[in-house]
Amino acid sequence: MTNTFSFLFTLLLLSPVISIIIISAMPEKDNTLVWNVALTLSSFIFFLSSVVWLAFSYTNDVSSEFLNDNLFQGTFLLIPLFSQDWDSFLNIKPFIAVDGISILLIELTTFLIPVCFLTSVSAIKSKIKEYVIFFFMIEMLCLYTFTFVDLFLFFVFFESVLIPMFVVVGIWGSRSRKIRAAYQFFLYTLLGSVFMFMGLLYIRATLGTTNYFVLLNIMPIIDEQTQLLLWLSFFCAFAVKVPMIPFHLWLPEAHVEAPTAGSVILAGILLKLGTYGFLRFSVPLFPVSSFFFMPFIFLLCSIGSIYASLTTLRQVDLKKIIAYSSVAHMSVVMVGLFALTPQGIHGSLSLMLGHGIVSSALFLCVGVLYDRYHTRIIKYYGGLMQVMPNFSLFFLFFTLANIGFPGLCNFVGEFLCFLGAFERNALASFLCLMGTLGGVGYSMWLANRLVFGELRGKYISTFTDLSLIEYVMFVPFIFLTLIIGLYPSIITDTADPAIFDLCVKLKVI
Amino acid sequence: MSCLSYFSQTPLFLVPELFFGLCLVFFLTLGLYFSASVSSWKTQNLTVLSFSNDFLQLGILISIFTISLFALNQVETLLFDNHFIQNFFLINGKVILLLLLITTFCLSLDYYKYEGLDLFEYPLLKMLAIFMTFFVISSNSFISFYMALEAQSLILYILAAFARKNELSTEAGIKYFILGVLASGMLLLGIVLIYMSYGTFMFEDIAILNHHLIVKPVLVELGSALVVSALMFKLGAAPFHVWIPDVYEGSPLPSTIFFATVIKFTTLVILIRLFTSIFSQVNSSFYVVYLCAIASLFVGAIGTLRQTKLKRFVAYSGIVHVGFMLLCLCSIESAYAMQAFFFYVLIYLVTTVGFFGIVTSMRPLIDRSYRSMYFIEFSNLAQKNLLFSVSGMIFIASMAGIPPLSGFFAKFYVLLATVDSKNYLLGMVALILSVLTMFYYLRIIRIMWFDASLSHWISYKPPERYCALLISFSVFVIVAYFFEPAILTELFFILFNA
Repeated sequence: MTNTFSFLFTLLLLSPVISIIIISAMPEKDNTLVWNVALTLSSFIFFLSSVVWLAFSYTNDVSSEFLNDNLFQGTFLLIPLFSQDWDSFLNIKPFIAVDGISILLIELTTFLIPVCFLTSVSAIKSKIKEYVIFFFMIEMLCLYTFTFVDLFLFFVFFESVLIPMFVVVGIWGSRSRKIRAAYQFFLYTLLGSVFMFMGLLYIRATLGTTNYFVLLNIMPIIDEQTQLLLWLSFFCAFAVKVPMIPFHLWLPEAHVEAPTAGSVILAGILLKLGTYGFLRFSVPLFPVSSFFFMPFIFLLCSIGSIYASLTTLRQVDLKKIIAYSSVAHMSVVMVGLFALTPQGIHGSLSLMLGHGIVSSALFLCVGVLYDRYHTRIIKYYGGLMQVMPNFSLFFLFFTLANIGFPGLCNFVGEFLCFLGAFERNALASFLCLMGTLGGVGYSMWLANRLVFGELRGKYISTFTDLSLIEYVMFVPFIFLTLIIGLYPSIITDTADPAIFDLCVKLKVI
Repeated sequence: MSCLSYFSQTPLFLVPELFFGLCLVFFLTLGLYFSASVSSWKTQNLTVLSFSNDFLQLGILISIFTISLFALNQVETLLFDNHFIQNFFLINGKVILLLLLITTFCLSLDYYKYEGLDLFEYPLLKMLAIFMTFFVISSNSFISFYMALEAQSLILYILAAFARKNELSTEAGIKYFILGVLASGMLLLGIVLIYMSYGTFMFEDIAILNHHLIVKPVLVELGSALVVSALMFKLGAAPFHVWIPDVYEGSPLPSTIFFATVIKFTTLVILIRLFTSIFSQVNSSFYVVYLCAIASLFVGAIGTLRQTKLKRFVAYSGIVHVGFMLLCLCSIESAYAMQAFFFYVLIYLVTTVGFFGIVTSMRPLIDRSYRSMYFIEFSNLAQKNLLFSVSGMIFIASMAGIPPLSGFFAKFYVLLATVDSKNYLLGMVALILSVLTMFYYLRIIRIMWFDASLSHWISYKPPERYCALLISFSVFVIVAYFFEPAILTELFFILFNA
């Protein structure tokens, strides 16, 4: 059983590399061929990750012989790759382990990449091979970030994701401000990561290892004060990535200047890297420090939620509105995560996935509009219902999902997050809820201005509804939103053993 | 007779160096003879193959042969009444020096032909400098150290001013000469002060004295600080770095490559030798190194921000790299420091060679005497020559410390050594400044990849064969380290124990 799983998983980890090699062998002139091959390969990777998810859920029903297999580390499934001695000088061995949380995020990653290619077909006209290669690189690095649990390697891939993203924003962005946005994104995130690098170095120098499983047990060797400082250093890196107010300034810039697919990846996956880092590294390695800093996180997130919602109300750029709504949602995710209760953590994970689906869908909608009319300013849009009914349907659906409408996926996450946070601090929960209320405000107002009202004939004269590609692009999102909203067990069952384990370690169950 | 027995042992032990020296003499006479006849051929309008090219290749051949001699002659010995030491580490160091010399030759194969400086003295001077360098790094006393260092520096001054008709080069030579002599003066004063207190020049005796004396005489502290400062000058660490941008920019490109690789390597070897023996207990030398490390990081990081010229930029980024290497020296209490140091030096050399390989190769098809000087000329390189831009991006990214290239690992090891020896503030400063340098490295990548062509469309001729070999070898080393980092321990084992 574990052998086939290991094989499948190795194949999954290697397939982006193989895809890059195949794509670089394609002829440059034939655009359609490149897009087709890219789509096929990424869909295959998605299929592979779904099979891996199924296999993993199957292995969750543990039998005794499986438990005796020393690949099984609690809820983690270790995959034996590489020789055990990758870096003998530094005593770093590449440990690849997945548990429920990683599997779900891997699934999200591989789901979003084919969608990115679908939406890029009409938008990207030049340097297509390089574009596809960079996206596969992003996918590969995100996959590795979610699977390598060795602290050093996690950090390596966590930082490496910045480079292809920088290039994507810088080359295929829409206007000249893209260079500034790419720089800001890269340098801001790097500055945060540098502090985590310091913490990582200190851990390695003091404890002699960066192996996650060993660190889980021997971290109490370091005294409490230093653990607080280490938690703070990890916080710097992850808080910029999440992003939490007040470290969020790179996000609106990067989102607005990136191409549509870049925004989708940024909102869908890259933000989750930060919260995954908190969930995987900050909380289990430093449980006492996490409890210590819980009020701090609550403060930042409550203010963040309200501030983000209020700022969104005055935006005029479509993408900026959705970017700020990402910030607001991630604040709720952090509130749920740092509630450190089973419900809270489940809620944060569900909201992570839900946000990945819904925000990406909203960015796709904006991309549809931008591809046709080449403007993102709301002033030029109005009354789209009359001329683009399909699009308006999808847009309204995803707006409702964004609000947290019950029955759609964000409600599950938000409700559980607020439930978890309410146990710890009712005021924080209430303030975040007020932020979400502001979210209702800007979302409905945006939908109102865009979809209803009267057509702005003097700005735009020709309207085209969704093409087949775009229609096909949206349908999986609708499907996922409804399924997760109506039957959240799909997600929570997979993640439950891992989160249960974490809560037992934190002693909150 | 005693003087006969003084030298009677040396020929066997010094065969590689002596062979190299003899080849130099032979080279000189050959060059003299042929330069006379070639000039007469040129006046008769006979076509002559590139003169300096042939001599360069001859120099490469000699160096390869000397390397093999070194490989065969692995002995540890003390010669010349303890003034000269040979051990495995130094033999390997000399082999690396010869490899760097070959690299410099390969990268400059067609350079002087196009510049109109078709002289045979150029490879001769470099080989002479390397010959002197052998004695510098093998010196076991301050006397021999100073003599060999002076002889080497004199040659370097000439190398900096080699393009005689170029005013920039002459200026570089004079600046280097004057400041170099100043530094030699400081060095001499330091040596004299140490001699005044201890009465001996030998490294071993001074090391023993330093180790056993708890409170060292003030003159020794002062002298050590002066000696270390002079070495910092040669290395190009701030605040003794002021000559580096001007000299790097003014010198012809092969001389710049020579300075950036060979001289830094020798000075670092000397520093390590001195720091592990003499200066390991002397506090003042550590103060100087700390100061220089922090100052180099600051000056290098901030200095790169406003540069528009290639060579000055390489000079300032070299200062940052020197800062990192000095960080290793600061944290010499840690067990990781030595390996981190050597690995960083190795990666720095490989990256510099590769990057200069690209710069050398950027010669236009038609107007061949034109060489690239400004960064703007890199613009839109992705369209013009994809391989150059990809390799260039890899080198720049490695210098910036972007994972998973080996530059990142080098920085990681250095910072691990720093944190391990509890210099937290130093490590934090280094990290934040490396973010600052990342800005400028990103700017180069942007110019190469994103910008539309700001200069007129120069189409470059493909690189020379050896140049391309060197660039690809460097790219391979930088990219492939990630897959087998365990090779570091093997490397260290080879370097020190073979």
